[in-house]
Amino acid sequence: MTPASPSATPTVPAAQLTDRELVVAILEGKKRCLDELYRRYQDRVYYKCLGMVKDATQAQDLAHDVFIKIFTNLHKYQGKADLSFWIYAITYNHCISHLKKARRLRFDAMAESFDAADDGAATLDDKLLKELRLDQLERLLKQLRPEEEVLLVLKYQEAMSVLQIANILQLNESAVKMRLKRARERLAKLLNGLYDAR
Amino acid sequence: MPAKTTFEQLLEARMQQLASRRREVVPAPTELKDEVFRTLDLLDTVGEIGSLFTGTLLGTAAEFIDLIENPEGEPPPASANPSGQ
Repeated sequence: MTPASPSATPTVPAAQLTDRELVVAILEGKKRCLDELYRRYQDRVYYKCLGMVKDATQAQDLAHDVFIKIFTNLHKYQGKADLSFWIYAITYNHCISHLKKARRLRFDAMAESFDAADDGAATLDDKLLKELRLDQLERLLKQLRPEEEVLLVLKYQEAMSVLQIANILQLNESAVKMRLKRARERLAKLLNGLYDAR
Repeated sequence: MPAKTTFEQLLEARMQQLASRRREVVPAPTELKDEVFRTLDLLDTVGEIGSLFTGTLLGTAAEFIDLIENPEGEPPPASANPSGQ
């Protein structure tokens, strides 16, 4: 990526620049703008890391490495996607690599037969999910396989598309759809079990 | 794109609440910024990267980062520019 013309980001305070203008300014050599980019994303990157590894110290180490990756690869940002998505993709990719190396996450090959009908979730009483306390939901998510939880986080917490998830996890789209369906079904089953046990 | 089921809509709302609660419960580390900028200074100082913004530091991510905006692996345009200018 190349910076825009030098006049693209005149004397406007960094805080008033859009994300894309900020990247251009940094690439023009205005290193003070790095502070602003960091300020905008510090919490979001850290809490995404924390959500993935569930450990504050590890999350801090991962967030550190993510920011180094972001800053040293800014020239690769082309502006096709929102900067936020670009940053989150790097964040999740880094966390997932870390979890795979720690053998806490594995996406095994699965049979790729896929029925688009989401009948697993359809059998669930939506009222149960509505009444579920957050700590109960957190406990249920922990009972899923880590890769199932990751998929649900990317899809429902981050509201990412199947294509975006496929890109981050380096799986094909049908594999992501199938795994998402199974993760939802597993969650629905756990949720039903929670209420049956009452 | 198929419409979201009620289950999915509820799940989305609840999981986003969960993320918000995590922010309230766990404080963000205050020393992270110093660590990040110290590392950047160090990298600059030792000359591992000639320019902070042209290197391929932490190369394991390089291919992935190239693919974020080009999932099909198409090469970036010669004048790729986030400002769109």
